[in-house]
Amino acid sequence: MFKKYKNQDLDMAFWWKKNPKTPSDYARLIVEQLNKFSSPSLTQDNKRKVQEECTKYLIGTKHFIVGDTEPHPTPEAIDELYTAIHRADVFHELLLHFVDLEFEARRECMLIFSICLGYSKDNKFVTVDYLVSQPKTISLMLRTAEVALQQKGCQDIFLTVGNMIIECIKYEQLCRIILKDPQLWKFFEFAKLGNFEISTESLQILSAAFTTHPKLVSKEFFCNENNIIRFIKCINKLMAHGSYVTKRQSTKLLASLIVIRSNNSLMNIFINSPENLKLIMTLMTDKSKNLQLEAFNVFKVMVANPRKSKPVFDILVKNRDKLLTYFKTFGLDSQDSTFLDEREFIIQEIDSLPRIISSTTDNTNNNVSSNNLNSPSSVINNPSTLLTHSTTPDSR
Amino acid sequence: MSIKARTPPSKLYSIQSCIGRGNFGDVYKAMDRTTQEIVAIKVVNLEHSDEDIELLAQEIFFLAELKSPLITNYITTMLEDVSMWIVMEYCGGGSCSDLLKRNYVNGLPEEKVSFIIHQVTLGLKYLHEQRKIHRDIKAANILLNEEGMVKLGDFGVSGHIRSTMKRDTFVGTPYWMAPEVVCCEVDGYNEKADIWSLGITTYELLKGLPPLSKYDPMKVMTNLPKRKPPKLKGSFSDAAKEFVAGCLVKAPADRPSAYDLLSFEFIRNVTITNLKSDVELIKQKKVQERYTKIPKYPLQNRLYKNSNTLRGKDFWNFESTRITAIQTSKSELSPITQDSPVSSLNMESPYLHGQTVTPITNPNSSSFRKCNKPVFELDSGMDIDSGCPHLQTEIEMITPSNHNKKHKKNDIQALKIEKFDYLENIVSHILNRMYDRARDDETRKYVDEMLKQFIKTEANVPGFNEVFIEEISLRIEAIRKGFV
Repeated sequence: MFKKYKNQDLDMAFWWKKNPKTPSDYARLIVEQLNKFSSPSLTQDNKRKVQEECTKYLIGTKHFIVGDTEPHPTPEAIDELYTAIHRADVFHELLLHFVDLEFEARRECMLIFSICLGYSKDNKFVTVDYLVSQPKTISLMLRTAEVALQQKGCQDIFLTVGNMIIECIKYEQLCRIILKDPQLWKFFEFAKLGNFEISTESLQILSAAFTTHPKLVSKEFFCNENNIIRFIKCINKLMAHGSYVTKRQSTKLLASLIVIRSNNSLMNIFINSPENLKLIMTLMTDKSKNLQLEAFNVFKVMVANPRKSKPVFDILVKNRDKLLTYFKTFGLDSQDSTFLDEREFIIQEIDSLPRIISSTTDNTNNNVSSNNLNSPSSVINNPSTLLTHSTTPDSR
Repeated sequence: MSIKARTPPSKLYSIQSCIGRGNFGDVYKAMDRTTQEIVAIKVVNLEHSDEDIELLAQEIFFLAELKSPLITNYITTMLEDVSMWIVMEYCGGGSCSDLLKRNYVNGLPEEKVSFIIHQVTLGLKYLHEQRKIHRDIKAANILLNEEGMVKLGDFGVSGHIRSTMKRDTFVGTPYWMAPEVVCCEVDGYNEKADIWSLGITTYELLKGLPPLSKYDPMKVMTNLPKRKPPKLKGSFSDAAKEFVAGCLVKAPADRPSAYDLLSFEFIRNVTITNLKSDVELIKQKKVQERYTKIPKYPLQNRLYKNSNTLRGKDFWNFESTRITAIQTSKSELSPITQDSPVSSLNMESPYLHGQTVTPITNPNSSSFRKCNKPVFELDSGMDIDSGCPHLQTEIEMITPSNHNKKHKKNDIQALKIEKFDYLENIVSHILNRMYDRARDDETRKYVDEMLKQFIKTEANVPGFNEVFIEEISLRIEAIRKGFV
């Protein structure tokens, strides 16, 4: 590794001068080299040679595309390069051989990719449009992340592909392709892996995919009930069994999604399940204050819901006093006035839950109290006052 | 390393000493147990950081894409309890700021500055080619390895963090900030901001201090956009003056790039190849001074002490069959156990559970003198994790009700107290905090002397610190109760 950096210090412009090429040569030469990786007769020595060539061409391409060469490339030449990159499906080819490439080459690839994504001509993002017309590249990118996990030094590869995916998500059309790809579910699995970098990056990808374009997500992803059910199942696993960071990030992601008004169906399905409530209440007693806070942001929606499902309502009633004790100390040191208002509101809500008056475990008494609980709507007799409050699920 | 194994980093690395500390995290020197390689580990306590985990992770993973001999390279990041361990290449030679402080108070000789700045410019050229801005170039962030080679350090993570941090923590850097950074949004500047800072750093290395350092940093910052760029005056070569003036051009677009700077005379003819002799000198001095730091968050303080982290099922009532009767009388409510996370929520930091363990850095300090009346509360007055520097708040935390509650725990406390080190865990800790809060070097010097005095006294009069703290706490207690 060390030696290569020294090589990289060579003036690349000088190298290119010796090998004058047209812009489309860059694309052609990269693909030519990449194809050599597939050759069955490739020896270890040859492979290293091919790797080095790829790195060199990629560095050259980057210098060209950012206009670092002498003389500076003309806008026409740069346009020509983009066209050539698209026509030869360079990114697709690079991703096919991503694990064969050297560290520097992958990094250059990621840099060129993000530069290309941001390049616009006549108010059009040319590379984005190209990727929309050729969705196989995005699909391969998502699969490359999985392939990377089988490799030695997998974190490096995974992080680089991950960053490319995150770059894509910034563009709505590309995010749509990603949301539609079933491969996205795999990232919930990756997020459970013990390797900190891989699990955190996977959650970054999921968070980005589900929060960058909220309208797209609610209209085209959470419109499907199967997606909702699967999403809840996946995120619950992360909240219950993830590492400290995974728990915090996944709870936060969920909390941010269910308060979005257009994600109504996700919210309704989530907040009406007693199992979900149990999970969230369990998180509220975690030792991490931050996690408690994230969990509270889900819990508040469940409590503020004017039409709680019976099982959810029952759990809250059963834990009424415990919850009141809990909130006596929870979040007292916060300075955030919105949070304090919400906390106050939730305490009132819990306080107004029916109290089970019984001194023994006598069955008749239990039945009486259970009867009370059968009609939760009678307890919260004025849902409209709830709706005006800032913590109600619909208000954001 | 396997992708599935969740081996905690403390098993993979053996911590040797704390070499730096800050609000953002403590830095340790450590050894990779398998390769014997020495590394630097920045430990970021996520439970006590206001930073978004997402932002932090994004910055760190960006570092993962950089590899060059000109920078301190990223190795990996792992999770230990609630802390992120960012493992980086170790630079045993300290920073250029150490060089100024210890070897050259009035500035380095020009040929050495020219060598350092040349390396830094190459490093910046590399970074900028990777479309990355350092954001915090200054002597303190230019590191030296044991061979006396220059490496850019502390970028990305800290740079980003500092630029978004609250005012009080970011005071340290304004002298080096470019005018466009001061007046614009975070996104409103580009890599040319590093070039300005490079100019200021060159000035700093040559003269020992950055320009305008005798003025209040906030004032310097606000006046920066109005002012003319600082000028290097005095008995320096024209080449040095030209280089500084070249970097300190107010309009970013007119400022040269790192690549352009490489052809400036000042760094074109470098005569030195390393700073090895200086590094040796610093090392000796550090050994003489018994140079150690006490971490802000001792590593032994863990939030999750056992694997059983989810205790909700014990706390809540999730029985599904039938609603169980709940007693009406308050006193008969199922009591919340002392160690319940809920009851202890605001009374004490969860980190204090491990406080009794001696921090790594100072194993030679005196031990606890047996005392059969643990009169004061160990965990009330020293909320190390609140991050709140105001004394008043700390005193407020010792509320009477809190006090009574704690009293019941005295039996447990008494057991824990056995190993409690008052010098380290209280006196050193307090003085370290004061050191951090000090506004100027003069104050810092006094704080430092005070600490030395305490250490010396404890050595001669074992138990001095304990009695001292005991008396303070008794007095505060008395005052609070109105016995005065």
